[in-house]
Amino acid sequence: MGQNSLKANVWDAGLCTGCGACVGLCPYQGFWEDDVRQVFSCSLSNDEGRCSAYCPRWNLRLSEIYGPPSNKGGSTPELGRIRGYRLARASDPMLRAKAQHGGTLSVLLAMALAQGFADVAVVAGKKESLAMTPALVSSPKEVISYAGSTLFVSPTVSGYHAARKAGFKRIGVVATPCQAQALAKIRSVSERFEDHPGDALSIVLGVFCGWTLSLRPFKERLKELGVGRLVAMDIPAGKGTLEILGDSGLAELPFDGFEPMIREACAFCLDTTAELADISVGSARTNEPWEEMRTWNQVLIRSERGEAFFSQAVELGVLEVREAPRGALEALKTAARAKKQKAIRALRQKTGPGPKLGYLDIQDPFLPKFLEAIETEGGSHEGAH
Amino acid sequence: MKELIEDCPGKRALFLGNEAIARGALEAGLGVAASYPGTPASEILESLALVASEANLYTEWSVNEKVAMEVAAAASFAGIRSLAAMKQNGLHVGSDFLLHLALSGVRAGMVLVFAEDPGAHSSVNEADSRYFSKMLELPLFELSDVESAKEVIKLAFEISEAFKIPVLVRSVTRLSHASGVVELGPLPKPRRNAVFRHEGFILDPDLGAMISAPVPLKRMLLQEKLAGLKARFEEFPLNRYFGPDKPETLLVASSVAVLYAFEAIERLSAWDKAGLLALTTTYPLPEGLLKAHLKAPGRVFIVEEGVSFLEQSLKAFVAEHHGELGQKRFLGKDEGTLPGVGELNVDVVAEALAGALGLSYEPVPKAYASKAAEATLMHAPQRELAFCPGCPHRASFFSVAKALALDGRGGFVCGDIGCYTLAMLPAGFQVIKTLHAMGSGTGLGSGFGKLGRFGFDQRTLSVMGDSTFFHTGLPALINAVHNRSDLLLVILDNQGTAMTGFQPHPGLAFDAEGKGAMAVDIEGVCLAIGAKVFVADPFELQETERLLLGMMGEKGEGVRVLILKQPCALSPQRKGKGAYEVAVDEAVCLGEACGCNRFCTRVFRCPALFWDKNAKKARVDDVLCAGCGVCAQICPSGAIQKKELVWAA
Repeated sequence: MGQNSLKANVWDAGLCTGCGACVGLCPYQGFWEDDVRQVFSCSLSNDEGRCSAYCPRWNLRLSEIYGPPSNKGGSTPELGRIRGYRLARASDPMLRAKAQHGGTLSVLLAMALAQGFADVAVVAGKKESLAMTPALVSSPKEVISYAGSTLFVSPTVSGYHAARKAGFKRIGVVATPCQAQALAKIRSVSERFEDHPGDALSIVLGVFCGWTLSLRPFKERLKELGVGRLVAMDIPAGKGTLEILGDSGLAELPFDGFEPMIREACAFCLDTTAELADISVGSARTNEPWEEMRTWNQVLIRSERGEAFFSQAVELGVLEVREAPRGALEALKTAARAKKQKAIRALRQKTGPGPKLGYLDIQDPFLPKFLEAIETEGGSHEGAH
Repeated sequence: MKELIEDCPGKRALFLGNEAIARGALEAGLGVAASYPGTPASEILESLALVASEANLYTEWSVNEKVAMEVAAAASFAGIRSLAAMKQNGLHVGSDFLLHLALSGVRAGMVLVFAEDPGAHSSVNEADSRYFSKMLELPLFELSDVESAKEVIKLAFEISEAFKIPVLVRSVTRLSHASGVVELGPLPKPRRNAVFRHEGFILDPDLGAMISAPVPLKRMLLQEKLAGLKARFEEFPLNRYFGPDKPETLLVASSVAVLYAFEAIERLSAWDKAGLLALTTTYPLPEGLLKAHLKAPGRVFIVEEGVSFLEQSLKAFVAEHHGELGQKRFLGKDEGTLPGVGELNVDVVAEALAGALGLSYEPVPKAYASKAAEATLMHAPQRELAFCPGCPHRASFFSVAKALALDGRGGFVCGDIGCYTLAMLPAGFQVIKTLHAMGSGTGLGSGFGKLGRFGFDQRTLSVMGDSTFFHTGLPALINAVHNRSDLLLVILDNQGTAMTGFQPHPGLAFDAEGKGAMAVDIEGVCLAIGAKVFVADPFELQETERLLLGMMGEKGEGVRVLILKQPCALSPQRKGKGAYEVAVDEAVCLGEACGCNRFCTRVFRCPALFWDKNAKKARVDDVLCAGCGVCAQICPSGAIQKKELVWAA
């Protein structure tokens, strides 16, 4: 497995998430706009290539990235490990105004840096061209300028490589589900490499993600719409629209027109809630009225570390919390299960009959159990992980 | 080369073919010479420029061959003997002017030398341009050896002046770049008084306007000149016959093939059966001479390089005079006795002739050939064509290749003529996907840039050098600007016509003779045309890549030009001094363990970087390294380190 088969089986096969795990390791591939590209052909085909070892869309062993089943913290096939589920938001209303929803992520990130959970944080930074690029943040004050998300991919994991190269030993990462998978895969293969590349990962703050948009067609549409410079974008819950805030004001457009722009690779994604993070944060798409809920976040606390970390934020008073509305977690589970089922169908269709199932490693002893849990309608199999 | 203007008749001197041509022109009283550099013709003007002040000449490197012809023609019109020199393509570039010059005629002798490149050693074509003579109705001389070349040039001037017609003279690489002994003739010191007379009747060759109209009358005059030339060529001293009175087989040859044919007959000891008619004037043909030699032989073997120009002429001639000459069997290129492409040599001709005569010929003993091949493999390092160490083009194409790959829309480069043509090979990451004439990369880019409406989504980058920009690139660029084409142009400005030996071009502040000249600013010209212009140093890889990606990003933004400025590594202005001392830090280079898969030696491929098989690490060859420091930017481990050098002023 070398770059050429990664190109054939992942990049050119429409499986690449653009997470950036294979970028910045060597001079042979690069990231531009929202795609990984082969820049020069690398003839290596040994098993030690980091590009394929780190890739979450190549030979992904769920059992290895999720680790051994644990009794602590309920593990669900839909949402992964859950130690706690809350609604949260920044206590500071000024901060909330600057952030996209409740500002929870900005608060947690600033705290991670301030309290020494991480020496540096890798976040998705925006470029003039709308393309995303990883940024390294080491001061809590800088965090807020990275608040707000777009709907495009950022090669964030390459920022983790860059931070390691710069000598950082405790690196926090704000990661989407695919990026969190890549980081987990780096941890799982860490022992294979002399420099133990997973050791520097100190905390992963996950972001919920349903899909991302392809940049080029989106930019062309913006041009047609005369939006000018894009300031922010959001998907209000339950309205089937896309809000685009540009120089010329706010436009709310039917989402149908943007659906064909969804990145092909997102159809094969099994994770909505960044299951492999320490804490995952998303907007509060519950049954409550959106106008009220849009200033809150849903938070899934996953690891022991994440739990300690979250509690500290609440104790310090930087986060406000409230109980989630009844049925909200079940709704989240249903949505996540639907996405997983869809992805498995898409993978089956893509790889055709036979044991092969896209990027999932069929040697994985955990895989049959996982598939059974997801594909069986209804019951949530507690402790399946 | 002091012998070039030594007035010492009878002295014998060793001259390069192109120097013999220059000396011939000087002995003919040359006043003006103009040229555009191109292998194998460049040394003609270079030699003349060196002696320009001493010999009271005006010499120039013109912007292109058409203008060179025009500059030379103006001198002729004003009574000054002139010469235009160029490689084969140049004749094609200037042919429009020549078409009209044939009709207007000339006054003082004007000779146009075109040096061709059979085998395409230094060309991306193998043009045989002799048909221009027939097409334009202009006399054609072919040079066959260094010694006679000088004499032919002198005669060409005389004939041009006597018939008031420009004379075409064909040389080839093996003559222009071979050396031979030449006997010097007297050097005249003509008193010159340039005047252009135009007050007479339109058809008056000496006093009328120099105009191609009225066309029918001018053509009639031109054809009268040709008839006169035909007669004159019967006595032309350099149409020669060697061999028996009545050979079974007659070889007819022109250009350097005369030597190959002569040597072939010699090697086969076949002078009893075969004769050789060596022709210098291959258009119009001397009919009496041909008849005299074509009567006896039953077989005619035409030996020539290029197309079957002479062969076709002779076949037509024999058909026309069938009653007198009888049936002949023709051997040559048409029926495959000689190969249709590539250069000839003695062995090729001798083998073909041996076959025709039923003799046997072994060019090289087989045992020797296999030994030689073995020795070559063992002792000569296997190298492909590469950019020199320190060449700015490697850096430029590294960034171009990266930018095209990152853009990811199947982009490619429309190439052009210069050292940078090598970017069609791994040396330049194989990014060039179209390659034609000078300036064509930009013309093609202009065309590709208009295909968006048909769904064309690939990004095309046109490249051209600074000299090509002035030669024929500019009209294509203007075309793209005017027509709002999505042209992306990269001008590889290495500050000189590097490939042919640093001849100046209009962008530089000195001329062919080394005197001060007006430098035309490429950036200023592009801006004035209305293009969006960026300038960068190609040695700054990241900045170059950033600019390229920026240019490629937006569609429909009109013409964008990136000028990558950095003098050629071999440029005289560098004086062989590198900017950096570059070395691989062996402690940092991880070798095979790096995972870079020998990026510097396998992909970047500067000849000064090599893989040390024993140490299993990359190394810099101090002797070859030009000190550009670019490789220090590409090593993922930062093992290639550069130290700035300070040179005393």
